[in-house]
Amino acid sequence: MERLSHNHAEDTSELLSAYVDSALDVPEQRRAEAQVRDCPGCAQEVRDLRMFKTLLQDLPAMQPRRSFTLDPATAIGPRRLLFPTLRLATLVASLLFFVVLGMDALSLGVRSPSAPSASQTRDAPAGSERDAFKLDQSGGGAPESAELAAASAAASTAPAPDGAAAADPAAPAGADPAASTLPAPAMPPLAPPAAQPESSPAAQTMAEAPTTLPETGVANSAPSASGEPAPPAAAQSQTDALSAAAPSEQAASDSAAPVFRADQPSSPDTIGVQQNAAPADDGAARGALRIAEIGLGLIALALGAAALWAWRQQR
Amino acid sequence: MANDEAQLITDSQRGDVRAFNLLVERYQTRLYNLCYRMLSDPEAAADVTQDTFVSAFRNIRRYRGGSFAAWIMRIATNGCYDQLRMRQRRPTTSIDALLEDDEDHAPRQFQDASEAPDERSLRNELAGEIQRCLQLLDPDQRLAVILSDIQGLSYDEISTATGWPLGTVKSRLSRGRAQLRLVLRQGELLPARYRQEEG
Repeated sequence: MERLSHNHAEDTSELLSAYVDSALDVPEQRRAEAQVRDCPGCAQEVRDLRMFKTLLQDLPAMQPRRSFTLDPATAIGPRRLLFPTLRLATLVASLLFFVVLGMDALSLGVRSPSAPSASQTRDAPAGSERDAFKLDQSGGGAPESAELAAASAAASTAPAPDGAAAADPAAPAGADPAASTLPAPAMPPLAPPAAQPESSPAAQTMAEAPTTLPETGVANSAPSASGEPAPPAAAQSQTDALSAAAPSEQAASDSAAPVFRADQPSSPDTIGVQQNAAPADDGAARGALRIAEIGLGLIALALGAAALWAWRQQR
Repeated sequence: MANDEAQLITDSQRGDVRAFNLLVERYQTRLYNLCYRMLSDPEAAADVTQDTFVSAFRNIRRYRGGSFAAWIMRIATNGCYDQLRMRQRRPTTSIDALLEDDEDHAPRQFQDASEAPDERSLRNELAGEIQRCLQLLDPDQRLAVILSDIQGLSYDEISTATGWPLGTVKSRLSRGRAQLRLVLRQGELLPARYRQEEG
């Protein structure tokens, strides 16, 4: 900035300019007066400033060539802000109310009774399921396992051959239900094919086994009457066939007992914990939504009433 | 007069156009001069002045008291800044400015009947020189000088009219005055008493 008077700081120029306008507070006024008194250059600048200010104030005013008054017929009146504001607020509150209502309705739909049976499993006592498990273990329900059980019961009355003894884990049906989780691989007797159930793949395997031993004379002997010891080689092959049949038999018994598996819970303890947690969360969310619905509904009603009042006032 | 003006403002806020037109008649010359000093174009100054009053009537409910002059000048300065920005984007040459000898288009000044013709001529010439020098200033400095030294507003009113902090008002006014004095001193139209050299 060009300095017209002697060199001094820019803030001194500002100080003197405000001093000319009498726009200083008391401390600044005293400082300016001291500056003017002690510095001739500052005093001259103050005189300059006052003269130019007078020059500008004396400028002739420019006369407009026309009047700027408004036409009453076409002038747009002052904006009335209250009614538009309340109307907008009512609209927003109403929209929020319907959004929350929709959310509540959707959450009710999700919680509809098409979901499976948490209640059913909750109602059924766990102990009864354990009992059902035991009953299945004991061989109820599957026709193949019943026949096998009967066959094994019959076989157990005869002395078992040595070779077959190792392969005979046979526990009589129902003797020790807690001993194993799988049905006992009952050793079928060396019965003729006609005595075996034909629908079972295990039965087919067992039917095949005797046919490999016709020369030994074992295959043709009646199950109940068989007491003759089988030769070791023939017995081993028989055992292999039977052990191969056993997993198949296991698969058959598994597939024959689907009812149990569907009903079996993972653990009786976790059932209770899960069931207790879910209703609590749902209830809290529903409560919050209800409160929001009521609040927003009341707010929308109040704003609507206020907007109606503002509209009447405007008219 | 203050009570009278307050009543007119209240009536205007209720939508009374006639009351507002009384305010227009009070302030239209001041506003026109403000716009003319800023834009140096009579037609543009008239347009901005008209727009200012139309906008003021529509938004008069937003006036919450204080200096009505500063409030309405705030609207006018915003209009002037809009015009200056438009000029920067799309520079145009005013035909009226080219027709310097056309008295129909030249802005008229209020005349003092007791003034001698030669004095009147000199004064008119000086006024033209001051107006020319004002256009050489930065727009912010120009506005500060016009509002303070030509319109007579206080620093607080200038702060309201411009939206500047008080310190900014002081600094821009100080710089604008210094710059204007420098430019005027370089010309030859300045009367002798204003061309006094510093010691």
